[in-house]
Amino acid sequence: MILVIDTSSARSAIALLRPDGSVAGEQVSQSGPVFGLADGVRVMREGRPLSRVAVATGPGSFTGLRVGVSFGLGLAMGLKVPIVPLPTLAIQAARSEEPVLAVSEAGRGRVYHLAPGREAGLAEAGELPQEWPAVGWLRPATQEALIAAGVRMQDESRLRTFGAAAALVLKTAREVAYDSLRLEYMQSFASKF
Amino acid sequence: MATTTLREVTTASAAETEALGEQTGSRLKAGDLVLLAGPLGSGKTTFVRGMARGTGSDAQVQSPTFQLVRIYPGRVQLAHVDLYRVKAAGELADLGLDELLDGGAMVIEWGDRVDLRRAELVTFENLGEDRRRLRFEAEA
Repeated sequence: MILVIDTSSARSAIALLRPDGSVAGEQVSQSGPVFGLADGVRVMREGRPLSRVAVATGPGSFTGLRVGVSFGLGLAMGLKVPIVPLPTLAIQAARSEEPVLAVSEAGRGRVYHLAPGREAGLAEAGELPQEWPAVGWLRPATQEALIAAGVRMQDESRLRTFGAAAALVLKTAREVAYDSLRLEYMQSFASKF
Repeated sequence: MATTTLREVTTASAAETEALGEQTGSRLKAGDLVLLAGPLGSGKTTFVRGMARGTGSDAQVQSPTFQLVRIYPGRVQLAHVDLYRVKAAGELADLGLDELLDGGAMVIEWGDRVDLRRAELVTFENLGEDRRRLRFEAEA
């Protein structure tokens, strides 16, 4: 089984995938990174062996990323199984069959975003491209700001689940060495060193 | 970085410096950033002690030189950051300052070591004995 962890954004999620990529179980919390990650994984896993651990590496929350990645990395190292980084915005983009603007919470009214065929960026609600409906986990106030700015949020019922989307991204994702996971988060404080 | 000097104040005692800090603290809201600059012993931590009281916190304020960040819960959370020992950009990135600013206000000692817009800068000068000159500037 493959365990997928995403604690990078305004909601947290875990999923358990079978070797063929089908979803054996998944859980999405309505709040941020602090939830019963270890308990959730233990209950979902039911003692079944893990062959890989996949973690969302952002862009996203400074603390959230550290919670999910340290847990996933510890598990992978302990079980001696590979760790696979998954870009947060790629997972959200993969939830839709149609082209979408993937978004993720960046705090203080800003969102990370990824439009089809473009580079990921950081913007306020009013600066986001509006050619595509948006998919992603935002705080309620941030989502309201997007809608007020004219961004359409894609209807949840038309989207794949987190686990199904992660399985798609995993098809092309590669494992990395334990010490080479890279986290992406906001760093607007530039040093003068 | 363009700055506008808002005012200059000379204080005659640590209590006066702290009172100025309390004024600054009392009008802080989440997302506000105050940078403090000035040599060791010029009154920065004393000023922060006042700021914390101004935010309604009764936490004990100490220089976070070795902890790098201290958090004072109050009407608005105040994160107290000290960059004296931070020597590299990577160490700065590991402090997660953006997320702290998302959850409250922030004051940074040795704040002239970061390049950042939309902050208030307070520069401290030691005039001898307990006298200090504080210059308040807005960065734009």
